[in-house]
This record gives sequence, structure tokens and C-alpha cells, in this order.
Amino acid sequence: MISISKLLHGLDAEGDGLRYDAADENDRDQIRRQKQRRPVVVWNATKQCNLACEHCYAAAEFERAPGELSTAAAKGLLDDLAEFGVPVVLFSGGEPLLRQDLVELVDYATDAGLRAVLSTNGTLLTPDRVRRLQTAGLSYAGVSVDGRRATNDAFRGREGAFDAAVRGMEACLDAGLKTGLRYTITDATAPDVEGVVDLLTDVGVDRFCFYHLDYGGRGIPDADVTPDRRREAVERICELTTAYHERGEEIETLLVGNYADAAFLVEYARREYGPDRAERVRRYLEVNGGDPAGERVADVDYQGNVHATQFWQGYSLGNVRDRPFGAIWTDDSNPLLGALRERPTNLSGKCGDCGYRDICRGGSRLRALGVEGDLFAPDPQCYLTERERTAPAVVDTGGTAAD
Amino acid sequence: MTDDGTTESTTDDWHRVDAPRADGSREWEVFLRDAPDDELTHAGSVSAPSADLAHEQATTLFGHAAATIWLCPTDETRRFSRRRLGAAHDDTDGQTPDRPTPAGGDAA
Repeated sequence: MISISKLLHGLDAEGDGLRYDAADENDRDQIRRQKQRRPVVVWNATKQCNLACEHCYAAAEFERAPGELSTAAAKGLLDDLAEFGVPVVLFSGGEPLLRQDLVELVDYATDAGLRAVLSTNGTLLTPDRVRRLQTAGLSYAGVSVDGRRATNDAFRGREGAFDAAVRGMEACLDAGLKTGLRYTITDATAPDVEGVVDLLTDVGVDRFCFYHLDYGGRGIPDADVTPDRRREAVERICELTTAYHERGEEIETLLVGNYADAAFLVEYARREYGPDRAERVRRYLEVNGGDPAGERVADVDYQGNVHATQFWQGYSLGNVRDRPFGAIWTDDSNPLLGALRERPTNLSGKCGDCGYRDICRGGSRLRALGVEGDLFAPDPQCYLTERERTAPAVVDTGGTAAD
Repeated sequence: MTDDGTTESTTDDWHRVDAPRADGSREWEVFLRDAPDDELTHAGSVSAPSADLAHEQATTLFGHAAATIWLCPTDETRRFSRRRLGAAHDDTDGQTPDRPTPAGGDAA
């Protein structure tokens, strides 16, 4: 997760400690030597969903799937996560609000010392439900909207989903619950970015997370934008962020799921603000640590299977019914975990000698697997130019980044 | 099967963990050996509809680190553990076993 608003405009935010290890003091110049030690855990509390989104990585369905963790087993999982020192548990799905015990589990998680946050389609967020979740200790609700009304409703397979999600966000904001947008960049949604941000800032939303598509579940390569269009979309989001900040509206904008963005932001900062700013951006991103799969983010699915990321549902490291989460996550005998954590030294092709491999770590290994069938191949959605990739460090070469 | 996904065993302290692990496709437990004198170790599981595709997936993930790959269908594997996830917690309230399906639901 890369914060454009932090890197380009110095906006401090609550989650910065997990992205830049700046939790102790939100000083924009602070750089710490150690990366986040324990993963943020996404828990797909259910596979059941009331929508049918085209690119759902969890391949969620209307029916409740067999093997879902019971309330007691879910509390056991939360015990494991707290004991291991996990900082944040993200209740996700499917649609987590379909679990009738969600408030109870959020309450339990926060009592155990976990920061509880929610990923939801927003359509089931009523004022009463929000109030009870907030009372239980929920810190944040990320609501998925993908495009303007018509685009979103077609994407989600339900007319009225957009309006229902906006009502859900309004319910959160009215209650004073920190709320943000989750937005997946696809061919269909990329043109709608500015319109959705403008509309939701009017509603009161000030945090916008833009996700690149990873290739899991119904998220398949054919649905993705081209690398060139991705680059254009990222640049437009940078410009949008700058425009808001220049008129005094400090929105928070973040990019998730493609660490070519890290290199792009260094180059963008160099081009727009000069080498000193670019150097500062790069140092932040060195601490950030690049693609987090298998290291700073983990996933536990609705059956208790542990995955290297939430998108990587086709391979499980183990199951929490058999072993505690911490034992699975620290099992050094697993060669895949080792390979993910040894990056960038084991990358091949253009990633192997890329000047930004330290802050990108090869991007998505899942996309490399999905397209190239090779765990160490380049991320097919890297959009950096050859000149950018061969840049050894942040120096003012006198040229433009997009040569 | 109990609510926590285990079945009582006749042996003290041991429980069979028989909650499903497969999701849509068949699941295969993966066992690896790096060198002939190394131990065979469990390395998780892959989802695949057939043994051949499971082998292909496992080779893609672990071919760089293994000389031997064994695959075992998860639904043919009996898992026993002294661990019972959530045993300390009461399951009498909260999540109900059969909640209604939201199809046609309430998004609008």
C-alpha cells in the first residue's frame, strides 16, 4: 500500500505506521530502520455475498459455503492472531456483514488488542449496524465502489448497489467512523476515477484506495487494463491528489497491488518536484518494503486456510484448525514462503536487474505465475520504461521520466 | 462433526479435524523432499481438479526447491490433532449454522 498523499504532499495518516513504520511520531522526515514485523491479516470471514462482482478474487457466491469458521473457532483464530502480535485484522469476505456474529467478533478482536477494520460492499451498512460496530471497536470501514453508478452496478451485478454503498458510507461518516473508498482499476472503471472521487468527497469521504487487479478467483488477466493504461490511470490519480491538496482539501490517496507504482512515484516526484523530493520518496519506500505477499500481509480464508495474500486462494500454507497461525507463518521449511521473502535476489528477466527491485520486490508473484507460469518471472503489469528500470539511483539526469 | 470442525476421537485428547478445506475445486496436500537424504515435509496444499493439474501447480510453486513431490487428496487425508480451535469459547450464540441466502437481496 503506497500513499500518494503522504509521499508527494506530506499528509500524515493513521495507517502510516504500517506503511512506513512511522507510527511512533508522524514526522514526515522520520525513517526507521526496521520494517513491520508481523503481517496485517485479511480474514475472509465468509464466502457468502449479496452481490456478484465480476472480478471478485474470493469468487464469492450467494450461498453460504461449507466449512465456515464458527463463532468459537473464529475467536480461536483471533486469539492466535493476537498472540502472534498481528497489528491489524481486516474483516473481509464475501460480504462480512452477512455474518450475524460480526459485531461480537469485532468486539472480541479489539478486546484482544487487534485493530479491527472492515472491507465491505457497503450495501448492508445501516446506521444501527454502524453504531454497533463502532461501539464494538471497529476502527475503519473500507467500502468498495467501482466506477460511477452505471459502471458500478454492472460490475457488481446489482442495480442500486452504488446508491446503497453511498448510503452505507454516509451512515459511517454520520457516526464518525473513519471511512474510505476501495476502487479496483479495470478497463471499465479507469475512466470514472475523477468523477467518483469528486462525488464522494462531496459526501464527506476523504480516503481513497485504488487497487490494481491481481489474478485470483474471478480476477483474470483478460479483465485487466494494459500496462500503458495503468500508468495513465496512476498518473491521473497523482494529478488528482495534487489538485485537491493545492486547493486545501487534504484527501488521502493510496495505491495497492502493483509496486511498479513505487518506482513511478519516485520518477514522478523527480519530474515534478526535483531530485531532493525524489530521494525522500525513495527512502520512504525503502522502509515500506515493496510487495508484501508472504511477509507483511497474510490471508486466512473462511475455512481457516492460510494464504500468502488474499488473492492467492489457489495455494494454502496450512490451516488454522491444524496449527496456530503464527506457526504456519513462521515455518521456515516452506520453500514458497522462503522464495517470497528472499526477493528481490531471486527475480529473473527484467526484474532481475531493475534499479527499483529493492522498493518493488518484483511486484505480484501471483500475476507472474498466472501469465508466465513462473514464480520468478517479471510482473506482466510492470509499466516502467527501460530507462526507468535501469536508473541506478535518484539522480537528476536532465531527461524526462517517460522517455 | 462439531461446530469447531472436529470429530471426537476414541483416543484421549485427539480429535479428527474433518472440516472441509476444499473450495470449489479439489484440494491436494503437497509433500516435498529437497534431497534424497532429506525428510519429506508438508508444504501446504494446492487447489486443482485433477492430480495432473495439481502436479503442474506444485511443480510451478516448488520445482525450484524440491527433488520429490508427493500429492495426496485432502479429502482422503485423515487429520488428527490435539489442537481444537476455539475450544475455550462458547458457540451457543452468534453465528447460526443455517442463515438465509441473500440472493435477490437488499443492495437496492
